[in-house]
Amino acid sequence: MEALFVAAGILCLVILFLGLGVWVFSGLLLVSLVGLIVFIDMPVHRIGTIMGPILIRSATSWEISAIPMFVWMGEIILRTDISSRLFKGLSPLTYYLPGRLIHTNIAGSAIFAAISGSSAATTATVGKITLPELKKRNYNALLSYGSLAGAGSLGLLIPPSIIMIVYGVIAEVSIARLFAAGLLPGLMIGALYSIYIILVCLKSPQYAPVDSDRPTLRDMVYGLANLAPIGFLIAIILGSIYSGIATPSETAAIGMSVTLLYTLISRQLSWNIFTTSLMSAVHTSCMITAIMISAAFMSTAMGFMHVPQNISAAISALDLSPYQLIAILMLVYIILGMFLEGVSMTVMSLPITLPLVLAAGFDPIWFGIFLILMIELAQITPPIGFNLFILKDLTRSSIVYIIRAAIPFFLLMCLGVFLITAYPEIALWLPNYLYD
Amino acid sequence: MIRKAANLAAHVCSTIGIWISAGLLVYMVVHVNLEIILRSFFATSTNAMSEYVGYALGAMTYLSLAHTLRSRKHVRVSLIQALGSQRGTLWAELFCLAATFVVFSFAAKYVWAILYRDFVRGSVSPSLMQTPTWYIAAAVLTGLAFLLVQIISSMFDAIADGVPEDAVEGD
Repeated sequence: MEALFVAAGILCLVILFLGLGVWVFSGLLLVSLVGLIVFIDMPVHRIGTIMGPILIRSATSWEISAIPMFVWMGEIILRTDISSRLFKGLSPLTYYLPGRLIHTNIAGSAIFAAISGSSAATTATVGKITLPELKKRNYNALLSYGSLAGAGSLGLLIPPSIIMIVYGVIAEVSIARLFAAGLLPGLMIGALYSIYIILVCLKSPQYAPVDSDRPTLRDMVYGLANLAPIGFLIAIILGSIYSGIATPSETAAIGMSVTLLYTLISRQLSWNIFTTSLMSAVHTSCMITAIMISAAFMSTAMGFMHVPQNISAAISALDLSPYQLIAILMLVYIILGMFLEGVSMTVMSLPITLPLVLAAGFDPIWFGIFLILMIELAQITPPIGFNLFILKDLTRSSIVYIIRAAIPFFLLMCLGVFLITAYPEIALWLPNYLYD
Repeated sequence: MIRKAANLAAHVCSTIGIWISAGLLVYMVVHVNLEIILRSFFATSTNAMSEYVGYALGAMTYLSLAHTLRSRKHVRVSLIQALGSQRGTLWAELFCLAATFVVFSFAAKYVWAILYRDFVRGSVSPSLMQTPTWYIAAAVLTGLAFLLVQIISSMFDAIADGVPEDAVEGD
């Protein structure tokens, strides 16, 4: 009972400090510090002696060095013509599907996600190009906004993904396997979205009005040519990982260099683009890595307070079946996702949830994909769903309208979670095929 | 007068920090590419990639903490800021800044202890390069000092000009 009291106390501290608005990177250290002093009466100088080396060691981990490089690559891509070429390339190819250009939100996000590890960047970049075009052609706004809110979060699932690197480092699983595991679930969710759009537009064709400019075969070939730069980047990134030339961390540097080279050759590189993308990448990387450093100390502190062990013991005593456990975790993550962003959710919950899930017999790679799907759900869950805010900014619509648009896609993603839980092979087949 | 001095100090510290961090990110990209080229085409290695790139990442993170805070790009749950009054928001902001100051002052004290110990003992990394370990502790401590200066400046700004909006960031 005392053990659960400590866990409840930690939870209250997290709610108190983060709720007051303390930045996550300092809030986690504060919670750990107060928790160790209050709950196990640890002397302050001992806490400092434990904290110092963790703050240095966890910041210098080679594996997380891929994060700033992938972030920088994404920042450069945001500032080039790659995203507008993506829309030009996909438009003629989607013309004959019911729903027409709305599918460019789905396909555009899935393709853009393959060169960007960020969901926010994917939503903002694809949305900036597609939404004005869809509005101009009188496409249904709810379907346009909702499809982008849902598909934008594919950036987390389709490799390379920053959150997968975070999970891989904390859970000590192969990042290359995680990258492979995310591909099929990402495509499956994209397909679910597209099927939904097709069904809705078959029922209500006015949602996707017929365009007067019917694309010719030449337009389609020209469209494919527009997809060449992004296709080349995807081939370089995924090719260098799966050919064994480079590890996922090294691939980030290759991808970054090729992107820079493309920007230079296509005469889009300027000192302004170079420095603004670099500064933005440093800010984002600092934000992510600082949270990971604090979480490393929090994980150690929770170990001292026996929180993970005691929660595991308490849940084991409930004698839940593996699927009941996953259902509870799903609920917990949906609630967490209402208030926390993905990196914070991952680093704060994993010390507790990972041992539970492994003890229940689930594969850590599968759980990584499950967790990322939960984070994707969080991206479109009010009140702190980042994709919702990005769409609000892009469209100048009310947040309630954006939430309404996102609801069907939220439910479709839930369906995706059920599918990968019922059929774990969807996530595990490709990594097993490639590496076993 | 004190506010101006704090703002100037914070501006200088965070600007130095962010530019060094940017340089370190460029260095990381160059070193990893060099390693891949050496390994793939010349059957050799820099023998220090994971170690030095790791150090660069650590130094980059700590040295850019101050500028990231200044740019309001650190993630937080802004419930109080969204729901509270202007006065409540100010008090919440001052509490957050003060709490962060206390936590990182505490951390800085123990990082200094590590730096001093490693410097006096001449500790080196357990690798081929035998890098003095106080280098990275010094970078971490410098970053923490920059952050503390920035927090003081942000407190003055919040009291004088109110609480600015946070930048929207996502995963």
